[in-house]
Amino acid sequence: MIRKKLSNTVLFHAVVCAIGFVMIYPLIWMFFSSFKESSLVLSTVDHLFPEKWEFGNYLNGWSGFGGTTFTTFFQNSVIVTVVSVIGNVLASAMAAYGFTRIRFRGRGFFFICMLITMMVPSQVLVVPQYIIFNGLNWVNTFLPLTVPEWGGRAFFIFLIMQFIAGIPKDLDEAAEIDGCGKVRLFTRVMMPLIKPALATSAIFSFYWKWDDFMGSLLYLNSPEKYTVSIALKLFCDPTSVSDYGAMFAMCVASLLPVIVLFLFTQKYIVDGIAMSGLKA
Amino acid sequence: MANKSQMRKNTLLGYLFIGPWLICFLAFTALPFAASFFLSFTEYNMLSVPKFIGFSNYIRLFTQDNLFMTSLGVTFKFVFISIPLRLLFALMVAMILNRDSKAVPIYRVIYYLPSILGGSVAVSVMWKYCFSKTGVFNSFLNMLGIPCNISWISNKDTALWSIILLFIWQFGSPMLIFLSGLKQIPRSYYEAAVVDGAGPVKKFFRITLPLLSPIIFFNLVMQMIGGFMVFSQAMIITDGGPMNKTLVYALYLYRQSFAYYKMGYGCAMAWILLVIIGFFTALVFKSSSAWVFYENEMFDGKSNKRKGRARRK
Amino acid sequence: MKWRKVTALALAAVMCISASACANGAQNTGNTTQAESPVNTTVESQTSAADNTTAAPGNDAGNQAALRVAWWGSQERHNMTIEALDAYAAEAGTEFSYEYTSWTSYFENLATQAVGSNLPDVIQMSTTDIINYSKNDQIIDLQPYIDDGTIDISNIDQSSLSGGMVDGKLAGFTTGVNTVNVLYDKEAFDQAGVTYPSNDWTWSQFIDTAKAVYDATQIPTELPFLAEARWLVEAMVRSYGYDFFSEDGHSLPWAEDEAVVTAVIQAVQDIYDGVKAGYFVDPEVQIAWSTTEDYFIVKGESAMSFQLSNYYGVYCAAAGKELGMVMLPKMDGGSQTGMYLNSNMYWCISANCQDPKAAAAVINYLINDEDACKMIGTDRGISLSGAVREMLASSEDTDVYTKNTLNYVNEVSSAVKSTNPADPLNSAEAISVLKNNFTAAMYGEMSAEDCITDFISQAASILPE
Repeated sequence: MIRKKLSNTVLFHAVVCAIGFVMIYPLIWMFFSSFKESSLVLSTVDHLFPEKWEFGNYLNGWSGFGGTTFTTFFQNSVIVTVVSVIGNVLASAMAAYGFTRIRFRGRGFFFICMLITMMVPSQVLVVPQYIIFNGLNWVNTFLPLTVPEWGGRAFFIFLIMQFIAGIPKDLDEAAEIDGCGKVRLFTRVMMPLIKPALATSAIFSFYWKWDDFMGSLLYLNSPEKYTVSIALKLFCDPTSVSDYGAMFAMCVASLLPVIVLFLFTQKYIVDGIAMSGLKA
Repeated sequence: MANKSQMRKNTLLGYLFIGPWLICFLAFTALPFAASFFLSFTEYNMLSVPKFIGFSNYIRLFTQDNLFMTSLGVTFKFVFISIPLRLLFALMVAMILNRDSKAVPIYRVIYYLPSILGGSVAVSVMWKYCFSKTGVFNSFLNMLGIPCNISWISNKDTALWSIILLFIWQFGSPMLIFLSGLKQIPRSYYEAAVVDGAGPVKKFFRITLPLLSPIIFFNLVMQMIGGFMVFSQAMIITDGGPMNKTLVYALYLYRQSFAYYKMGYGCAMAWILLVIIGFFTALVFKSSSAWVFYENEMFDGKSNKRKGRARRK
Repeated sequence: MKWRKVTALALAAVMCISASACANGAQNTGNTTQAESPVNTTVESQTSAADNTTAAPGNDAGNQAALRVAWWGSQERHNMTIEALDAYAAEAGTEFSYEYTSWTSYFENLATQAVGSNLPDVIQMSTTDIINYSKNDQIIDLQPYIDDGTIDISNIDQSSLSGGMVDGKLAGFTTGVNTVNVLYDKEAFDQAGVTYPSNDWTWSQFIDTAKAVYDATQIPTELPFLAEARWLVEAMVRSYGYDFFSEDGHSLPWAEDEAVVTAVIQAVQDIYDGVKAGYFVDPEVQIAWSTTEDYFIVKGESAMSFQLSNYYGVYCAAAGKELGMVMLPKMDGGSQTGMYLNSNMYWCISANCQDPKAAAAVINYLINDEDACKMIGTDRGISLSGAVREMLASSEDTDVYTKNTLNYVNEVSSAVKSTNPADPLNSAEAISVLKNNFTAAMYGEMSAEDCITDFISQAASILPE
């Protein structure tokens, strides 16, 4: 019995590691490529390890373009992303609660509106949105990138709705009988219960904002305001030579915050404890 | 009377909660939506004033534009193959990783990482390197004794598959959502089932699947919407080629709008896509009452037609 | 009771904000539609342009004079351009605001800025897009600034400016010229015992050469024109004295001439035969290439390759040796060489530029100033200025690759007189049809004849009437 369990565990780890390696290989490749000499990055795709370790790629990459370094780009990205994520998660949770637990006129209509917002390719909304932000004089500031996020995103609203729907309604009623208003019910009871959904939303929201290229490019004109996602693309150009070493070095650097955040928050996704206690 | 004031209070409360969303929706989304709808009836190159041309864009799409139909076909094929596979894979991995072990958090990171690579250059280089004629994939097949020298990303029959594979490989976001859903299922249910003598298969179908169904529903809807709008994968790996075999709808729409300066035409394409996605989403919503089980109704009250059936084991 | 008041208040606030946001948005939409046609009514456009600059997002507050310069490129180009412009700023006191991005989405960004009448002052423009900006009066005619001497063309052959002409206006100033060429690997030719090609070779000689090298060494030639099928047709119809697009941009003038169409079809067939016989690279392999490092010519696995002259240095550097460079073969039945000069890209001045004269002075600096050209090199093509070319050719800092490119461009310049005019409206869509058909023909999915005739008929409906 114990033996079987042990062999099961070994099998589990072996399989998960093997598939995991395939999954993550491009990332490993990118990591090692960031230490290769630029001209060798693409001609030695089949060698994982660099023959000579070129740490200069990181310095060269970090020095950026014409005096604007990656310190600036990272600062900008952090500001934009953090401000967006906070607003995004808060507003999404609120809207989700409103849609699921409060009966009000127009709810169905707006819910459908919300769903529809996800169905039109962003490419055709770019121009009208630009007109609005340009009119507000927000172009070349962080506002067009952050303010709309304070309204939440349909994806997260819908996601959190699904989680709230899984929470027994008796709970609300019990709390209300105890004299707890909807607002307090939301902040005190609901928020802790949907922590996994909030953490998931925070991770996605962070990553999407961090990675957002088009929005940043459209609304940020001057290089001192560029975010990392724009800066990464500045290395590459099909009409001239590209410094792949420096580019991959900065790609690796740009992934670090996302990975770190994920390591910290994934605990919350997984800690579904509160729920289990309630339902039992 | 009391009921009426209760209703009014609820309405106020409701709008308070959805307020931030509603404001941003009205200010930054509703208006551009209306604008794009209007533009779909115009000839608009972005560099001069739009010219109203009635239904011409729509008529041209359905009668003269072969690539419109081609790209629609490619997209349908893409969605109907890749979405089920991606969800299946994500669910499988989520279930495997839903256990207690010191190493599991690390595995989660590893399995999520491909998704944060997105459409970066590293991915496109790797994919080409793996699936070219002399690539890793063919070497692997040869090792297994299957001689193969197809150039997967540029063969007319396999090119789309290489993109589908990339899409499936980046299954991190549905996986995470499945994981958090799985974590919400009370362990006591499984314990009770074990006492009743249920095996793993029975546990999966009797507990996991029904209790996870709201999450499956969510992932299905979202992935489907995302699948219809797939863009970057096709752009970075094949750029629509060879011979438009991987010209997905959003890529064609992008080309019309920005490379060919036909934004009005692009908007018309977008609204057709909206109708298509809307249709399939409505279908999934309609069907959900048969297979999605909520602990309680998602929308309570008579105002809503949809009635989730609460079912407890 | 108290609770209700609070909610009511909050809701009222919410309504107010949303209402004002909406009004604001609507107002601005109106505003911009007006500004969208900047040249229709000069007075109106000037006021709206002025409105714009007060808010001018590219400039730091109060910095009215800062010129916004936009270009796409790689890290190297960004650094070189900034260095050159900074030097100019120090000298002339002009303030700059640089807006450099990558090729990806550059034009998406630009078009969107045009909608907001918010275009940068000096814009790097591509040959396919310039027509759209010029036809819609988003960029201005540069001729007045040549006439008043701001842009000095005393060292420039007038005819080479034709690349930037749209409807008789000089919409853009060519940053430099380039042209198509055939690269060949001398080692492969030596090994095969085949003589190097010369500038006056013909299409059938080219086919024979590819075959001969392959037969002797098993080294194939890269499939010609797979990346850019337009070059094939362009060079071919020019051998017969036609332009690719008619001057008004409404038709393909060569499509009426059956002899030419037959010759083009035959050339496509020749290439396909070569693919089947193996002396051209398999299209399935070649179509997946995207970066320099992918090309067989770089790895010594191909005898010849078709490239643009401004890539020459890049390919030599990647191959680690000096590659041969020769003109495209002439059609056997043609009367002249099919070669032509292309504008690499253009410098343009946007219609909402406040100080076009200052902007023109910057363009002049980038084109004519020897120090600037030393800093920028031939990154944007071989300079139009004879003086700059001589300076580069005689300078010790110039590497052998650049010198070869200079020689080559000079040879072509003396063989053909004018630069290709800017592409007409909707050309991008038409060219993509050709490219797709050519690929299909190489895959054996379409006959050579269908490939060309289908392109001709589709182009007729795509090009404006």
